[in-house]
Amino acid sequence: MDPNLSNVDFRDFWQLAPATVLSVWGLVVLLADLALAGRMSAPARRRAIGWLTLAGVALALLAAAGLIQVQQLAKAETQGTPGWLSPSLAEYFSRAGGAIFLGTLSADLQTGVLNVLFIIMLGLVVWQSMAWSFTEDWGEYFALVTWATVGMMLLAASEELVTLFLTLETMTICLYLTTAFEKTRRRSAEGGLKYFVYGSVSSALFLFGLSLLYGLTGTTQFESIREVLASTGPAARGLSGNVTGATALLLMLVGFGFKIAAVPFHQWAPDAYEGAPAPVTAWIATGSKLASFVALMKVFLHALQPWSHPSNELLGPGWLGVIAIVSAVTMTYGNFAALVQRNFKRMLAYSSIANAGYMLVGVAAASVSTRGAEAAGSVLFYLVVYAFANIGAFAVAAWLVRDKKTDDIDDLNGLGMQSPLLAICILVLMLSLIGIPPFAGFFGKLYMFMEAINQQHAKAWPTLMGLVALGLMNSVVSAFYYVRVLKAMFLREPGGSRRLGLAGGSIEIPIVIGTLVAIFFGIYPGRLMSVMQGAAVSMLTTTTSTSGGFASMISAPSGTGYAPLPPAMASAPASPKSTRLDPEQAKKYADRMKKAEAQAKALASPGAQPKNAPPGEAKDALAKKAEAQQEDQ
Amino acid sequence: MVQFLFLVIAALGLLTALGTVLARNLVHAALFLVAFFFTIACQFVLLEAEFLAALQVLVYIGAVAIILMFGIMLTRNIQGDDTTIVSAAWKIPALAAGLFVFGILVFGINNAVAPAGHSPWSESNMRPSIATDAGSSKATAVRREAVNNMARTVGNELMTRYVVGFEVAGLLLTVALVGAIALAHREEAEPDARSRGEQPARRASASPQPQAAGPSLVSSGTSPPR
Repeated sequence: MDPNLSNVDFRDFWQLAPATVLSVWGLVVLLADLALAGRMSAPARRRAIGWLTLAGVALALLAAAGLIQVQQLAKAETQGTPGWLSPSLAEYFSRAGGAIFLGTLSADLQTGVLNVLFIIMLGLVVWQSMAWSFTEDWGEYFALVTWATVGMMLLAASEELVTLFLTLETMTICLYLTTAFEKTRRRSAEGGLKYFVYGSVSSALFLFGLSLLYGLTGTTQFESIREVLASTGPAARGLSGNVTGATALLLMLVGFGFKIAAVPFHQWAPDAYEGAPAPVTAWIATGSKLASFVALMKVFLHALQPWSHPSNELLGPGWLGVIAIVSAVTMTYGNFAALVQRNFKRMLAYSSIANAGYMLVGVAAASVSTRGAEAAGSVLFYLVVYAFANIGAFAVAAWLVRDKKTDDIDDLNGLGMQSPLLAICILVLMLSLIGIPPFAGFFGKLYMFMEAINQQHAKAWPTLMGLVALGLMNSVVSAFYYVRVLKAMFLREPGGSRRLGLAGGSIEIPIVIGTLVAIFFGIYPGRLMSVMQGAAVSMLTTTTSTSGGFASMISAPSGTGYAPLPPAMASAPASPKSTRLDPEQAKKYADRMKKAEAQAKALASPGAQPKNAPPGEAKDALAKKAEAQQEDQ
Repeated sequence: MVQFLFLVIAALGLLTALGTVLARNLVHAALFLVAFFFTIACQFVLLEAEFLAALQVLVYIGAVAIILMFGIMLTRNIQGDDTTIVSAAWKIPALAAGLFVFGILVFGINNAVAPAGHSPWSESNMRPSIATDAGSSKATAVRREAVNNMARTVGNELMTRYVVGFEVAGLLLTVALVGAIALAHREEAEPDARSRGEQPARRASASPQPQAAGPSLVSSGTSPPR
């Protein structure tokens, strides 16, 4: 072999173990279904194949957790090689985590944590799918759901545009297909078709954006793109005068906006959410959103960071203004549209749009600050909490569809009398989604908005402040539609001819796990938060850590004139530990925000005292006070 | 000269792409698509990527197009219907939006701002000579290697740097195939339901010893659409 040709370290394949297990298991499931097809009825096959898929999920979880464990053990081993690993593997794992496959994927804390999360969520989705027979092609269904997870895991790990696009497509194509899997309902096919048509158009635009970016920078690797853009010099930063760059950025935003359901690109969401079988909807709303947000943050906060160009003009040159506008419109539209929905899944679709808006506030905050990793970590925290709450909420939808064939909010009437324990769990989920204090959803919003308020950047501050104010006002609005669910459950008599049957394990467990997550991380948010911030640090700085030999391996593809700059030129990230909120302070903020929220609610509720101050401003003032106090300390 | 050739081929490509979208008859659309693939191959030749041009002809025109034609021949309704056509009220705004994006792209690409220290992308590079000369820079050497040994360079990149993307593309094709079969099977299931119900019964009466394996082939969830 030619010595100047780059070569892959074959030990890199060990890092892909969870994804490999899941891809192979998809084929196993498919073959098992083929073998069982003639011998079993569809419901029996559903259970058998479902358990088989769960076995694969357990194997993948073992692989993912084992990988993290091995890596940590190998790093902790100081002298010699441990006996349980071959020397070459021990040497490989003891190196600092970073880019694998010549810098196309990352393998570090972030991918490890996200892999475990994706696999756990996949387990819940598969478990929930076993509740009732919405299709007969069980082998195909479970295989596609599993392969979608492979796409998500690799998407969250990708460090390069080609891999990013391919994994994104793998994920979404699986989701288009499974959306249309419910044979007996026309809405399912309609939702799948709409999802597919919008999705393929947005993918085409996204690809166009990627190709323009490649043309401008001459490389597809995030790190190299960042260096090329940063080398333009601080004076010329931003997009001023660069129409092509702006076009590339906007086209990429179309692609990401579609995947996360941000407002101008959200039209598919209500129909696809309503039409898809409930477990698939849960997977679209949680896994796909989490993976897409990670990719969005990697591209915008890492690769395109030099183009963010914060300025106090809302439409200044740079993507901060665009993200701010999209975020504001998304959360306002999502919340107000959700108010008038009667279908439970459709309401959750609009609430998912609104939540994408909140998370974009965190992304905007991460772009301007020196504490970008913390802000990004708070977005990850919010995503995880939101994902588990949503899986629980869609389990409720699955319950309704299974027993009543419809999924309107009114179908929940009288659930509080019928099965009080589950109703209380749903209450907790809804309160967490609103953001009521003792639950995790509140801390997600708190951390994210505090990061936005704490920005030191004087010029971007008014923009972020406005976004936070709007976000808080929107949380108040969102309370109304979540409370409608609670009202139906607790205050109305059960009506209608069909009654909800016993929930059964496949519906109870996702609800209960969602509730436990909401309660546990509401009481102890600190630990998950620090894990997520650590993950965000490695997410945004993967290849800038030059401790290993990775930086030398990352080079522009041969055939282009560009060579990457020495890593020292890349801006050094702020150290993660220096300015993080400590738990005590966080508690104090929590109390203050709670008061602010209560006041705002009192102001905003209809028929309250004459509004001498809009709720947003009242909270503004309180938040400012909180910030001032923090600076004193 | 090259500029002129490029413009001609690009214009042809645009026309065939429009033909693909606008043709009512599916066979015509597929033929336009083949023509479009061919203009892409020509573009690759203009970019001195002869190996990619050959691949484009072999894979897209040779294999994909043929499969596409087979697929069209197996569908019942070749003549597209009017329901897929955009309503007249939206034609003008859509056209305006499309032309606006086109204008922005033309303006932007012509005025692209290159990063400092890099050459602008509109610069044209002459093909490096085959003979190695000591005076050439490293970038030229890399380029010469890439142009002269293109199959090798492409293969090497695919199997090292982009190996994960390569594998994921394989998974993507599997996913599309499995999903397409599952969904297409669904459409067959409804009109065929009665005949499928009868078939096992007929078989059972026809064969002296009805076996479990016989009906299983018919009702198998993964059998391809007939």
